[in-house]
Amino acid sequence: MTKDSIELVQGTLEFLILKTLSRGDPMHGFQILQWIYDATNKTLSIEEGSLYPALHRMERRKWIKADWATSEKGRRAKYYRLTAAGRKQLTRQERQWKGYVAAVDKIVKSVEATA
Amino acid sequence: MGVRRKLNRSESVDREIQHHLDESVDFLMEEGLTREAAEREARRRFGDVHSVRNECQHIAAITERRMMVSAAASSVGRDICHALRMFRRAPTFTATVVLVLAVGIGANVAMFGVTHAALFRALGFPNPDRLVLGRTTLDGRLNPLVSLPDYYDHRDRSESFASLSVIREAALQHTVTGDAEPELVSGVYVSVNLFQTLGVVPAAGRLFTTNDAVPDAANVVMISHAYWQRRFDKASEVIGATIPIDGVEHTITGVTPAGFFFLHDADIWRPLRSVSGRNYYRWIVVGRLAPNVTLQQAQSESDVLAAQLALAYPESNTDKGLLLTPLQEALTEDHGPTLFLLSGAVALVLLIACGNVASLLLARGS
Repeated sequence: MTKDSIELVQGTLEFLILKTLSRGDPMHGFQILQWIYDATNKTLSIEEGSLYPALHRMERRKWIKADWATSEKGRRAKYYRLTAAGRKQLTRQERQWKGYVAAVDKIVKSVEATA
Repeated sequence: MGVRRKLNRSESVDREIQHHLDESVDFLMEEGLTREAAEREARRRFGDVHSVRNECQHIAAITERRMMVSAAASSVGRDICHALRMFRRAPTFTATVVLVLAVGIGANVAMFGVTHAALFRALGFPNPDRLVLGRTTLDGRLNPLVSLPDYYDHRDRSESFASLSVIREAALQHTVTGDAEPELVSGVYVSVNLFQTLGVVPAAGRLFTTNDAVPDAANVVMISHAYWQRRFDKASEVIGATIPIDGVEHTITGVTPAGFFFLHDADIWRPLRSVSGRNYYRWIVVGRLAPNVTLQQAQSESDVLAAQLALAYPESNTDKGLLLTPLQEALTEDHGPTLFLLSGAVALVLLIACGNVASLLLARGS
């Protein structure tokens, strides 16, 4: 991790997982993590272990579904995929996230303007 | 992607974490680290394996519980749907089955109600375990009743009782006339201290006092709460008013509490004033043990008194005793076996009902 990597805002991890899985293919935990790193050019710092409690909580809420399968490397891995409820949840969170970002952005800009 | 055997909760969590670490090591080695360095780095990136494992297992446990509950709920739902479909397809058959089961279950419920009321419900009086029933024994044989002179002697000489009372074994029918329509009511003679013995507090007015037991005192009567409600509409003026019982005016002194009944569910309660012969067994003795006196002590004293009476009245009291039994036990001892037998019988009725339903279903299925 680089020095100027960004700490994850609380509750964002679930959103990122939903977004990652929304691409369609079932993925195991490490693939999800790699994909988030790749998509953000490794600017996000995630404590990798925290991924699993998040995945399991989401599984309990039926946003995602898990199945054991053999990976291309021949290992047994737990693959997650999005459910219909998860897709709905993603839409909702996306809307909230955009609103949140827009609001924070406005404040940042207004402070910059007055400074 | 074939599924092998189902992993249990902790295996599943452990293997998932191990898989992550393996992948991470592969990835880091591709980036040029040695295996050893890659393993160290993978663990560092992962964080605290132990706490992650605990948290995941905790979540899995909750998930499992919820799945079990929802599986049970959906199976009940399926059963109900199935039952409704059956009912629509074969209403007569379903009605028959329901009726057969209803009779079986209904009989059991009714029987349990009776058994519960008779055997298990405590007497509705304060400290019921201090109440005893006194019964005559003649040459060792039990006679449920006691004669008045014997009762008076025991009452006056015994020190084991806080209060010793009698109640007439049978209720009598009386005609009450007056303003309202003449009415046949049931009345019971009791010693004036019976209500104190039982610990009953009047709903209105007062209980009998010793003055009411004097032979030529004014005629008084206590009425039951039900009778008070039925005939007098719970009017408080009733206390001190007179009603003609069998043509003789009686002053109402008090009303028994709602729901009160003791051996008889009488409308009126009258004070005992008479004396009759020592061989005239018409009375049931009820006593409340004095504080700190045990049943055994009371019985010993009663035996001594009986022996004294036998000496004083050899003609009537030779080999006569007064047997004391806890009241609750005595009231149910005659009915206990019968009630249990009947309970068993109705349980069998339900079993037969189930058998019938089963053979109906079989006959229909074949």
